[in-house]
Amino acid sequence: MVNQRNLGGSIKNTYVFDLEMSERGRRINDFAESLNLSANRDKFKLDSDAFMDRFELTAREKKLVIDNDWLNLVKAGGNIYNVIRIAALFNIGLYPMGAQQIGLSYEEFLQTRNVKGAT
Amino acid sequence: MARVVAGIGTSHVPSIGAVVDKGEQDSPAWKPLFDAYEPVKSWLADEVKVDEVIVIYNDHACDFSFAKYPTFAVGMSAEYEIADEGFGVRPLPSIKGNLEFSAHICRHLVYEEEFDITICRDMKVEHGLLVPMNLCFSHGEDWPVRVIPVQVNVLQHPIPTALRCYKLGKALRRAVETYGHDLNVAVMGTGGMSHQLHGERFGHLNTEFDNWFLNKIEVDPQALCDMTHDEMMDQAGAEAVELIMWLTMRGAITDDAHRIHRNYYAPMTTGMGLITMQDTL
Repeated sequence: MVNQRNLGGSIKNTYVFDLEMSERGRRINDFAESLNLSANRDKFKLDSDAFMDRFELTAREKKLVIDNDWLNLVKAGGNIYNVIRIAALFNIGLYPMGAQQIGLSYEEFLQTRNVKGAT
Repeated sequence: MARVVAGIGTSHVPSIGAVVDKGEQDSPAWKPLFDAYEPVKSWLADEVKVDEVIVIYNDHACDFSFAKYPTFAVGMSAEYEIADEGFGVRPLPSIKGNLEFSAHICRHLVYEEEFDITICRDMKVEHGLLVPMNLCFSHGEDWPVRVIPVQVNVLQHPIPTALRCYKLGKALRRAVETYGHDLNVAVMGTGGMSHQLHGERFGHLNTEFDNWFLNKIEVDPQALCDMTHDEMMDQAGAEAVELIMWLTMRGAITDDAHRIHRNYYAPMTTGMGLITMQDTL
């Protein structure tokens, strides 16, 4: 059997979504997946704190959401596609969300791309 | 008898769907991508005359959740609704399935191939499947082809090995060839190419790797089957491991199959690759 994770978790600045991360992020991911229903997105917008309580998010996890701290939501076990879903609640798209994770402004990030118009 | 008439490898980047919905395919930033698919569309419709497409894709925690996340899931429904991925439902016709063909594939995979798939009678489809449909087929009120969705876990490790995905392609080919109806079937592997969307490595692109992958998928898929997930993620970004789904397409066509179309475009954060192939007769 070939060890598929043969680099031993050593890929720099990368948080592979494995079973440990999935378990750590259980509450964040349950919350985010519920946002696939528009009624739940409305409930979040009405009372974000009460809505996140339904999924038993910890005080820290709730703060990460409200602070739009995408990098730490990833480190807390949020699958990236679920973090994208949470960012959309705040009308923040993939590229600004990503730029924040690498510490650049959106405009600075766009300058690093091949075709800036393809957003 | 049914036969595999085409293999297609294509990215399924969600922003492509947004461009289609806004009708901006001819904008300078997007024209190079969409133009490359025009000959593919006419080839599939007029030359190989595809009836059914088996689409290998991953659900991005949309219709499936990590509470229950199947490794391999096959749709068995006459109709697949368009899913809401958290941003609203795209204005697309629902995807039509083929119950009898799905049932045959499921029975063949489980009984003859020992691929113990999850069989899904209710399955909503999202960008992993819909973006390739937009790129390869035109639609009016309805799509011109029926679809068998095959969902693969490429998000929550442990995920299947590259070799296992390749073997699934071989198994799917035998499933097609034992189906006693006259059908032209395309097998589409989707996802990738290089990209990483999370962490301080967001935006990682590796054009050199992507072009190497496009070479290898054509002439030396074994080299790709030999790669570990970590090797793929290290070189091409963590989310690029989706590329293992292209190997299912490659397994479904013959070893000496040849390429018809190829394209590569990397405007923003994801290498958008395309290859089409056909058995060499």
